[in-house]
Amino acid sequence: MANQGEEEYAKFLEKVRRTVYVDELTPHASEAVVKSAFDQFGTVTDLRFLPNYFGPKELPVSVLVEMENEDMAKAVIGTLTQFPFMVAGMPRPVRAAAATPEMFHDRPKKPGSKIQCRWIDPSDPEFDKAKKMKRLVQKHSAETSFMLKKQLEEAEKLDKQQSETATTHYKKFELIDKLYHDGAAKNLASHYNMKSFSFH
Amino acid sequence: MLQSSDADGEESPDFKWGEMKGLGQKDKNVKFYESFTFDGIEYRLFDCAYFCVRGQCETSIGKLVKMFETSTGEKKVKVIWFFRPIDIRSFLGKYEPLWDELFLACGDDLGVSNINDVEAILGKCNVVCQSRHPKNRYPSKDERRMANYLFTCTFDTRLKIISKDFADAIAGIGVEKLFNKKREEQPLKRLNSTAAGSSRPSPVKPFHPDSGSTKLGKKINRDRTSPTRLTLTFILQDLFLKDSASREHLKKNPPVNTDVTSGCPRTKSRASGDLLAPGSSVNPTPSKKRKLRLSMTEPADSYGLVHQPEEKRFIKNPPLVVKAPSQNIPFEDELKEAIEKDRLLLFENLEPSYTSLDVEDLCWQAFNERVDARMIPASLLSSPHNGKALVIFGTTRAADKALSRLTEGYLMLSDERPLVASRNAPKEVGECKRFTGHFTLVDKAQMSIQKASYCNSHVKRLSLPQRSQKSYITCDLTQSLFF
Repeated sequence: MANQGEEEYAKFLEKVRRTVYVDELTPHASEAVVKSAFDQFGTVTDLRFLPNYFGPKELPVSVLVEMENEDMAKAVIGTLTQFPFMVAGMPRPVRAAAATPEMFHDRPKKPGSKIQCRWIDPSDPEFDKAKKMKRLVQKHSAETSFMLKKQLEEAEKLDKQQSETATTHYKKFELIDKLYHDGAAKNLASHYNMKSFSFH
Repeated sequence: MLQSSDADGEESPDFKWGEMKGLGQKDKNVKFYESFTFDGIEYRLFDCAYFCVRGQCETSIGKLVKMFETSTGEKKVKVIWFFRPIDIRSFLGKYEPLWDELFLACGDDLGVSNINDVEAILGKCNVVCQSRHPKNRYPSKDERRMANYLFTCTFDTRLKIISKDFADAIAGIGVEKLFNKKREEQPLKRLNSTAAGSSRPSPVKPFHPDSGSTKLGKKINRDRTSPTRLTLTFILQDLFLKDSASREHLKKNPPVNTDVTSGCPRTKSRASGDLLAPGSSVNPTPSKKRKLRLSMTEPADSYGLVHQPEEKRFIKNPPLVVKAPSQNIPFEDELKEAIEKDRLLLFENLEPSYTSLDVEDLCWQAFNERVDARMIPASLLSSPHNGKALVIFGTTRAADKALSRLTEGYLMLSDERPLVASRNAPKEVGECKRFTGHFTLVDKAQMSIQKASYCNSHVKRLSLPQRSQKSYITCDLTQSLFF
């Protein structure tokens, strides 16, 4: 029985080693797109998106990409840390890291681990300690979600700013381009007796 | 009286006999008991319970009328069955059963009562009798409200009639025992079956069909209401009523016990078309009501079901049976339903290495509840010190109870971290509108070309001088945003 558990766990660990964790992925990326993106590095045997239960849906998604063997997984991580890699035509590079067992919701039990718990009632000397810790955990999670929200807001702000700049620039260039095309620039140059230069 | 259970305490730690009632008259080795505790639930004589047989999706409900241990140490209960309206749909006639109505089996035929293994019990069921019979204590409104099911009528398995009259004894048990318990016994029963505020956790809840708690429960609800009506219309077409009657009855009574020549009653009745009544009340004749699938349109199907009785072993650990269906449906769907029903809790501050099974284990240890848990997969964004899990309880009440227990006291886990629970439910799965880091320029049509060219060649972009100036610039712009 124990052996069986160990065997299963070893098998699972092997699977973990073959798996790459990828995040900063657009939520619009479909399974097929991600698969074809990572098939360039080797054979993708399995793909699973990590659920985003609590964050806003605008958060980048993470995906676990299981490769056929460990070397392929290493190749993926190596390449992706050196070069920006875009998936689904999204000009935002994804990030890759080695997967850890905690990323699998269906991970098997670690052999030998045992669950222990005990109730602490108000009479218990450790009651206050537990209370404090609980508060701390709650505070942390509140902070986390707040920070996440802020971060998203900031990203959005930056994005908005950049897109505005880009749009203005684009419009300017378009205007100049138009002037050259319909000959207005040339006419003006000759009118003011200036030397006309070609933009192209 | 506990010592008697100690003998085989090792083999089923979940089981404990209560007070002994006496020894068997014929066989002195048979010990009768007043009550027993199985899987944390105390069952007393004349309590009702859900039963399960492998291979059947619907539970059966029966009244425990005898509890005894045989000379070989097998723990058995004698059960008088209740029929669901769907079980006897062909015989309802004009009778329109209530949605939660059951029919007490009576008569001297097979299928009224039989002897079952204790392991077949799934959980307790609260059934009240609403008969105006003088011996019956009419249930109060509260009791009625708390009950899972009620019954006012009997169904004679031989004559196939529904009747409001109760025979003096059914299967050798005085009818007054089958009615509602007398007042003074009531608190005992309540404590186990319905009480909410009691300190004793009541793991019966997951099996309550009324609250639609488990998938199983839901199914029962659904099945019960509609098909009955269907049958009533069907009954007219049921020309071979008499014939099918006995056949359906047989199907309800596939032998389940191991200690009996299985299949015997079935074949017999198939051949003769009628059942003999071999003193079923005393014989350990195994029979089991079974849910008739909606096979009424094609009676041939009923033969297809016949092979099932051969699976006669009950599942050792019944609660798993209840959980089983939930493993078949995707977790996401289950989650959605649990959120609607408020059955979901979020556990935080778990050791990150806990597995989903560990959490389920933990809930069993701490709250005595069977739950469906799933660790939220860690990611690089989540805290590496704080494991979180979504835990789906069987009922809203169970979730409430666990939450209030966790607010009153603290559950310290193995490495001195207290469990934190909350009602935080995942947000409604919505569509993501846009993803920051990607924007479109005014001219969409043009942009799409540029984007494509950019994405294809973001590395060797500069080596393509023939591209038009415009897109060249845009590429530069786009690039500047992301590097």
